[in-house]
Amino acid sequence: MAEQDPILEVRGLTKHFKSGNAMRVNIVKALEDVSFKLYPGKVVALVGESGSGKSTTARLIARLYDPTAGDILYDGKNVALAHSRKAMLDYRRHVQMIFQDPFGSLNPVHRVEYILKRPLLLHKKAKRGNIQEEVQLLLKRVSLTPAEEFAEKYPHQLSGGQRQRVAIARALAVEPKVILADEPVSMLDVSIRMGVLNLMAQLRDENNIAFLYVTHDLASARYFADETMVMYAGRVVESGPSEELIRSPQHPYTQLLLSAVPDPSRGLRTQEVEITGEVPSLGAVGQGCPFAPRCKHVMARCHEAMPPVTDLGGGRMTRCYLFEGGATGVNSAESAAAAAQVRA
Amino acid sequence: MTRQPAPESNLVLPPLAEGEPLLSVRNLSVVYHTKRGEVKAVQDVSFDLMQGEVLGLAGESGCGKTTVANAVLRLLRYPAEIAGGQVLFHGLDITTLSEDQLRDFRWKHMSIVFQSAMNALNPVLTVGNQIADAILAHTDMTKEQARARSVELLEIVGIDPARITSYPHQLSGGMRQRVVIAVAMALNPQLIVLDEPTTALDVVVQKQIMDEIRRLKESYNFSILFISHDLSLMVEFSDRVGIMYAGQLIEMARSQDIFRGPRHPYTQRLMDSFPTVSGPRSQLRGIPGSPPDLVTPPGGCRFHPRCDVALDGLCQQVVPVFTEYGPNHWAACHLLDAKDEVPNG
Repeated sequence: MAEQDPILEVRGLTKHFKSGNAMRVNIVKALEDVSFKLYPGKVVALVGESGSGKSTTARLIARLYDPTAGDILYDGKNVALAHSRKAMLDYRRHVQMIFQDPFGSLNPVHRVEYILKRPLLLHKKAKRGNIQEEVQLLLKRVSLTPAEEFAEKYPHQLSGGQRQRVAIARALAVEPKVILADEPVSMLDVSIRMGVLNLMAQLRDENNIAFLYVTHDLASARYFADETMVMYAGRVVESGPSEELIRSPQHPYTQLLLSAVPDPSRGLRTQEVEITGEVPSLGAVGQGCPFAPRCKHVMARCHEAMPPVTDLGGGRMTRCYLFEGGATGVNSAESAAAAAQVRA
Repeated sequence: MTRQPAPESNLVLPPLAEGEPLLSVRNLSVVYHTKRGEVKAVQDVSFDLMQGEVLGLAGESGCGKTTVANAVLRLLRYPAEIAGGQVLFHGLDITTLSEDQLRDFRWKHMSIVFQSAMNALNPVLTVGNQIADAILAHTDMTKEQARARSVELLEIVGIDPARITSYPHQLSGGMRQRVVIAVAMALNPQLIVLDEPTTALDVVVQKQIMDEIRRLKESYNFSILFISHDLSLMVEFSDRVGIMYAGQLIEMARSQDIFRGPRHPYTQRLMDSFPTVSGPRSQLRGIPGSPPDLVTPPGGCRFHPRCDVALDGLCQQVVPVFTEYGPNHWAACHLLDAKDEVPNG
């Protein structure tokens, strides 16, 4: 993976929202210092609870907001603050987004054909003459057949899964290199979800598309994503290859999150993990590790500063003082012992 | 706000006989009257819930699970209507109760926790008032007694009683759901219906709430009818699970049996439809097609258009009978009659 260049890279991405009024401005630190790379044909999952910053990350990359700090490099070019119509059009020809709610993301007054025609014309991907063919081709790629029939329908005549397929077809219209999928299956029924996830996996493989998969569901990240990043209160606390991360979570928050996922195959009622506290309000996050108030391994310095990124080897990273120094660092014996204790 | 005092109790529940179910739903059918015709939302559903049991009803949107929950509490309003069947609680048929009797029955004997805590609470009333309201509506307690009980209930569900003067928007989603549970427990009912109690919550908060409910169930000895679309959660939390599809109950068994050895093809495909965080990482398929339109449900087995093992000339025409195929393991599928096991795969 290292030999290939990333198609998209974010560095130190930060977003602060201001709330309140002129007298009392309240800064909400939605995202702090997030960095990662997307590679063609690979899926990176951002996993976290509400308010963890996972959707904000996707929206920043889609350039729906301006970041407070940090870079967004597409094909080596920084687009973090690009605004010109040409630059944006150019960027969006390559980077497309799929939203969570297929009931809200498709204009209800237009037929499917119109919804799919628009990106084709806007981005000059098709001539007016053969546009119907192009639309039907798109519908076939997302398995909405007979395509002629689906092209004539309005969004309300489609089921949730079919609507999400139309949203995917719309993203595909511009032949994107990157798709940002923000909880694309969480509003769909269980029996429908796999069909949509498998479709995205197929597009990833056939068209070499890089996916950013935003989800609250660790199990689906394990299924779909090559790499998973776990977010908490605007920070990435752990990342690594999905399978290993889920098999042996290192950060105390990842362990908490994983233990809360219902999983009958783990055996019934054996998983009693003590859960204390709640996710902090983002206006109130201080200097230290945001998880410190809930962490059972908390140390004095956890409240003072955010732990640095520790490379655990094998592509795994975490931000926790328990692992400071990493496997080869000066504190390796001590932190390995602490890590073992965490796992126990 | 002035309230009518609750009527003098004229509802006497016969005591439960040995082995008699607390709740027995017999051939329940519910229709919704729409412009397009009758939606047969629940068709001929029967099950028993024993005292102290957690019984789960699982299925996808539109399968009728919430309609069953509402029918059990007689909460259905036009255009919904109970078209047939009985709901027996302590042997008493709830479907025949008058409005006055219902007011006396609901909350005292059976209560419900609704889907979204955000919407279940009134935003302009303090949580204390909302708990007290439920108590005052169904008992002849004084306001002072109701308030004291509200404080006690908040403590029971793990909320600082000082929060009694808080408004719902001042509480987190998890705390609001705890308040809704406190309201449901206000009169110590024997049965609490939980309708997707954690759907809008994050997984960590969900875990906290479900652990809390389990703890409360042990302490206060109520039974639970648990409605959810989340099969993993359902199997983990329930003693027995019923699977619904297109308005019908198609399988019912002990949780572990549903999980390890589902018999109905729909249940089998459903179990193959969601990834887990442990076990092998296999290719999952989902189920092609969508659930049917219940104005004109398919003849025979309602699952046959999506079933890859349907038998020609049988499943399209003949409605399969809900039959016991193993100890406490019921299913409705022609293939189970044809041979012992439905091929899974």
